[in-house]
Amino acid sequence: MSARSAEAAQRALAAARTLDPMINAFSAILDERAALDAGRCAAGSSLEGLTVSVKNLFDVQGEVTLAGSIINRDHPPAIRDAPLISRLNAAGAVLAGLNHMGEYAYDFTGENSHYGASRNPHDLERMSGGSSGGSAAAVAAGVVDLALGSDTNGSIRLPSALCGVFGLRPTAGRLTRTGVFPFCETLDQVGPFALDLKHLARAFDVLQASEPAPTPISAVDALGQGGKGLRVGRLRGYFDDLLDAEVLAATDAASRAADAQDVVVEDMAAARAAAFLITNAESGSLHLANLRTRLADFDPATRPRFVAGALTPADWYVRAQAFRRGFTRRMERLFGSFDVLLAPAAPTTAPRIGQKTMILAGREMAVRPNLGLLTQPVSLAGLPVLAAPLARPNGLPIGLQLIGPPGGEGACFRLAAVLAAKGVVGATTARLA
Amino acid sequence: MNPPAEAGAPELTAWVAQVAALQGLELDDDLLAEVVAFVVVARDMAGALLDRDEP
Repeated sequence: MSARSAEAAQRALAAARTLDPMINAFSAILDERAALDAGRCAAGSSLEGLTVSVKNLFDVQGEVTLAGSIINRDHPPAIRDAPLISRLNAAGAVLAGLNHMGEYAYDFTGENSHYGASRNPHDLERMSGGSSGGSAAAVAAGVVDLALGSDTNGSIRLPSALCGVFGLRPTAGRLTRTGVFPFCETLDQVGPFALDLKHLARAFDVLQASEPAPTPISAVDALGQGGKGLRVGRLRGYFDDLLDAEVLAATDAASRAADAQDVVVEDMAAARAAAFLITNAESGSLHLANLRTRLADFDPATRPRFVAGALTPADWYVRAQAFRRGFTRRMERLFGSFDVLLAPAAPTTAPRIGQKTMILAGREMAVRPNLGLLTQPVSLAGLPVLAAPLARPNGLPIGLQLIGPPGGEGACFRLAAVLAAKGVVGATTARLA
Repeated sequence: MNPPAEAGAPELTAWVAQVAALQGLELDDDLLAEVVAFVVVARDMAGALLDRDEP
């Protein structure tokens, strides 16, 4: 029994009850489970005194894994926790709740017609980002110290950027997805959120410690390695073309602080196209049975996407996967010249909830599909990305993508720590109560 | 079976309705129109990949 964990659990549960009516981040607040976890926490555990909530596509024993849908309400409760939750628990973290998400993770906004939008704690009229919007909002509001989410095309990085928290999409395959409701089998990854970079590193080390070889590089150790000799590239071209002026200026300032060298990678638009087609085809296939029998129960915002996905010609899918293999090799070769690549995470600050279009570089574009235009190409290559919030105490959050080579999460943490020490990146709890 | 590359809306709508029926999906007119819009986007996305010769 840890007194620190018991106190942390009580604080998180009280904060969830007080703040959730404002932010709509929780689909369940787990009082009994939190008390149980706190009671099992051994003093001195690496995550002692930290609380966590999880996107409601993670299996939690005794809870129905909704994945943001009403269709899954008919599923039986999970019989065991997803292994990643067990790892956090074993290290002392207390599970305090389940987080809302976009239906079946097909979402960049945090909106959900069944359960309402998760609201951005920095401005309750604005989007949290999606699809792990509830997880990011819960952390940004200071309800929990950590959260788990999933990221297929940007669903950790976008909410991190819009809500101003740290988030990590690990290298493809680095963390087990057992007990996680899928979206797109060949692109899905899972990872943590945190307000505190050190907490993110500790959580990731706990999560990756049980994975098989290669031997993990400690993220906590990487935080202390400094920036000497770190080669940073700033992705330009595609990443600057459709960018809000405020985001561009902030990213430029961060690039200068990182002493980054400009680099342009061809094919980013094609990479986004491939990610789009792969996501559509795999998710449409996954949900085909329910599309046939329960079409009306899908969120109106995702329904036509899944149907269109189910119609994807095999030729398009095969070509997209072939492109992906070549693109991945080209991206990996960049790391012969750079240790980390830096890019903006979202093309704009958080749009207003319900907003349908946005203006980027003078062009009016639909919000829902285009919020992820900067994250989609990066994840196609399976690279690890640390989403880092720029320190902006008086403005809406803006986030960076710090992109490493496969297995190079340590380099991402290293650069994040260097930028944090310079006051360039850092998260602040939203003032709500 | 790829959708018509150059066809206008009526042909594309017919293609979507036909393939949806083959998949066992029943779409009302509103949903059909929404799906057609997404298929147009996907077709453009696929067009960006069609001329490539990836090893």
